[in-house]
Amino acid sequence: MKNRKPREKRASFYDAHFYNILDYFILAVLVAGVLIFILYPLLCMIRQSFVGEEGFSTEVYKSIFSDNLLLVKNSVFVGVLSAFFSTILGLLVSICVWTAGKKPGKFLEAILLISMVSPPFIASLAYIQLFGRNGLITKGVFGLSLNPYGWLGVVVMQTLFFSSLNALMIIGMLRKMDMSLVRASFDLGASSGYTLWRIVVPLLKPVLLSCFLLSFIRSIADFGTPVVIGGRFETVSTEIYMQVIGYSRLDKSAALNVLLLIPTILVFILYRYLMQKNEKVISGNSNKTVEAGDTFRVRGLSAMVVWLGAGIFFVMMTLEYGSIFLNSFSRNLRGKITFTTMYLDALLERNMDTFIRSVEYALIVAIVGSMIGILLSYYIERRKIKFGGVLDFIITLPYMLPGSCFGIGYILAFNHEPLKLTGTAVIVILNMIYKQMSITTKASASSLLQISTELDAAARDLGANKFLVMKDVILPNVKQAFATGFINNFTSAMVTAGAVIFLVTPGQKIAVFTLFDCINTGRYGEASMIATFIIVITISVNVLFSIIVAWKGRKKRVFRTEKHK
Amino acid sequence: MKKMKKFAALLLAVSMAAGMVACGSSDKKEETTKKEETKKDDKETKKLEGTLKVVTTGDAYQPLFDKFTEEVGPKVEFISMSSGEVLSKLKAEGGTPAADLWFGGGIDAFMDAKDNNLLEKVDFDAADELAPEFKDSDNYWFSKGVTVVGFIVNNDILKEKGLEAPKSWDDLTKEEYQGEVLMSNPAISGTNYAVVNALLQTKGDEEGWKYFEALNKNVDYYSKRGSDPSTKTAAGEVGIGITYINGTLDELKEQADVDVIYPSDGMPYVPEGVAAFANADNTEAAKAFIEWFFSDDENMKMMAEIDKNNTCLLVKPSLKGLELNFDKDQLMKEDLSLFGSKRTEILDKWSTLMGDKGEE
Repeated sequence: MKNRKPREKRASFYDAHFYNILDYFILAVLVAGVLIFILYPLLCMIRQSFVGEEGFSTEVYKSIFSDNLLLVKNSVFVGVLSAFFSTILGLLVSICVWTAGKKPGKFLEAILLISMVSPPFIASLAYIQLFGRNGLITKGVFGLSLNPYGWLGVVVMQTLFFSSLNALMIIGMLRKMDMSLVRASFDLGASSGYTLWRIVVPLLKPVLLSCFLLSFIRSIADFGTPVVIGGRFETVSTEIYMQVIGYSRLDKSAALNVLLLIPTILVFILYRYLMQKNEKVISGNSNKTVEAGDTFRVRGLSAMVVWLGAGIFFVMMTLEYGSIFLNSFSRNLRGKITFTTMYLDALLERNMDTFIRSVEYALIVAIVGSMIGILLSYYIERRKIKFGGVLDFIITLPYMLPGSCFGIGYILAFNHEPLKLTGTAVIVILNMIYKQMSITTKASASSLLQISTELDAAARDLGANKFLVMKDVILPNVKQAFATGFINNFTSAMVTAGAVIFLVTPGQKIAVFTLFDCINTGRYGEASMIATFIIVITISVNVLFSIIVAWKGRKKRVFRTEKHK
Repeated sequence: MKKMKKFAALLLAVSMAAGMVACGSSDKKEETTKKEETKKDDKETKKLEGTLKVVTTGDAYQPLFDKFTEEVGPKVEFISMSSGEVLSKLKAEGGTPAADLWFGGGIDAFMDAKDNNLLEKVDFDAADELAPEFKDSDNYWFSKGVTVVGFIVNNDILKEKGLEAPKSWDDLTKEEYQGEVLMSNPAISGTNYAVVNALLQTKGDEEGWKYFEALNKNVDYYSKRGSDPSTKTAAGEVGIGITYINGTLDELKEQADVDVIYPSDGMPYVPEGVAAFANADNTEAAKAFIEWFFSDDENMKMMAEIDKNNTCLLVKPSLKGLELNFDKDQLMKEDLSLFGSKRTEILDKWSTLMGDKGEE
């Protein structure tokens, strides 16, 4: 025994040395990934705006502000309205779910999760079909003839889209809230309405603000909604779309992207600042997961407000998904709606391989993307590496810009040696991974906050090196973040069209591309069928994955408590 | 967890390696096809290999591509893209296109691509049989047919409003049709660009622009997809759509009480291009396809059946057994060379005049 000890020490010395190198190596790979696959393509895209007929030119910038002032105003106008209303609606929905009691709450949350899977364009088309001039509801039920096109339509649709994510974010916050404050309020004789608006909502202020800012960014970058229902109303994003699709002017679209970056960067700085404040609120009381349902019921006027808001949301979602589903199985033959399986047949015959490919890509994106995201957030948030803020900013950029710009950037960056990736599956997958990276890093950052820093310190004191701390202390505890990252990455890889439209080449069609194609050629029935399939597949995989994670987690916990005994 | 990380690293490494290999092998493919090409003499064994990657306008051409694979050899993979997307993508790719053949799309985009040296010259015997106005004089692009433009009207909507169906382009500007006309943005829709260009040529610049300003009063907004005017007219969102006339309208006739109208004062048209991309992975296969397609009448007839229109007869007048479903004289007189050269100028003027920047 005595002889062994020094040997063991030496081994652990080499071990430590090795692990430290490994630690730096992983960091280097991660940083290189971000620089090569986010920063470099974006720089290539921006460089394009300075390419004139003969070399360097600032021609497009000369008139970009004066020409597009109105578009910027429109973007900001719609952005502010959509962000405001979607935050309010998200709040009402989340309170409704939170206070609905266990079973109804679960049911409403399930609808909420489904509404996160929203294939592009198809929801706006469903909305026109229901509420347009010849809409099934406006004309069919109420006999009205409304014009759905214009800024109001864009605001309504974006409000509905963004409310889902906002509501989920707020629910997460509500569950972490210290319920003793609520009880104290009741004990002091406050009404439920007073408690809700004066105690609960003020505590949510940071998350409400970040919902607002996130929705604002999403609205500004969104081109799908205004393209379908904007009518004459144009934004910077639709103009970028026009410049790429209509005029093939890469320089102008690049310059417009730079223009779009200005409000986005301002919002990002604000967001970071607010998130730091937000963290303080959460870290005060981390491990309380209490449903309000049993102790807290909203009554009176407040209940009416909450139920009205949430009711509108859930009814609209049901209508939207119902009509997508109905469209995929029916045809309107001169006013008579008849059942058909022709779209299903067409899909089974032609498009099955695109679905298989989609799922393959999405799984890779979900697994690899989540792991990279968690590691990145560990280094940035936990280890506070130098320039972590800058790195985080770069990671956030692709999420904030219209997809087409990140796609064109990828083609520009990777169309030649040494990194010739155009035409391969790799470029599509990498693009999907890095486009959504910021969501994973944000989710795992908040997971990391739940792990006390004292745990790291304790492990370090016991002789663990940085790598082992990461491997044995941090990683087992960010399972939730991995699950969030996986689901978000998988979903967005299945439904996001923006960048992929440019990167997909013949022989690599994926489902969302076919969907886009069907919509462009006016085959809405087929498009609805594809959308239905995408929704069903995505939700099945997500549910399956959640079950596996929950099941594995339970097993582990049992094992641990036994060990402690 | 370590395993997972290793797996991730491995996955990245493998995927990158796969990317490199894929690029490398495509080069090799080119070499082999070149070698095959040298053996061209004995026609019986002439079978090309590899894959032909096609950018086209819809997935209906599958049977035609299957026939090509059967008779000539290369497997065909295709995706659909609008001409604008194709051009943007080509420009971004910096001379290394991801596809070999471009099959369908407004001819102005092909002219633009030729001017930017993005197309490959394709010489073949049957090229002489093609009508000279529908092909590039240097054989950089050809046409597979033409898209003809007319109106689609929704009879229910018109009846409801007590309106007669318009008969001509001049009818469209009548005050009674206010808010009832839908047209696509000409920058996005090749069809509607043809309308603008052709009417400007027919009426002359001054009268032409006056016409569009008058028409603008009847158009609520310009849609951003070429298919919108026909589908939205059928859906009853508007009474009149300015649309391409082809087989897809037949399906709309089943769904709603719509009629197709050939304007009495002439129909604008735009040729649908075919070309091989320069510097592509498998240029030989693309060239082979073009030669194969135009040389054998059966191939063109098959396409006519898929498209449900016989306009390839205009392109190759010697085609037997087909008949045009409209009078050739109904087509507007167009100088097609102006389609490419005037595009930017026309679209710029369009967006200023039609307030398409959202002024309100």
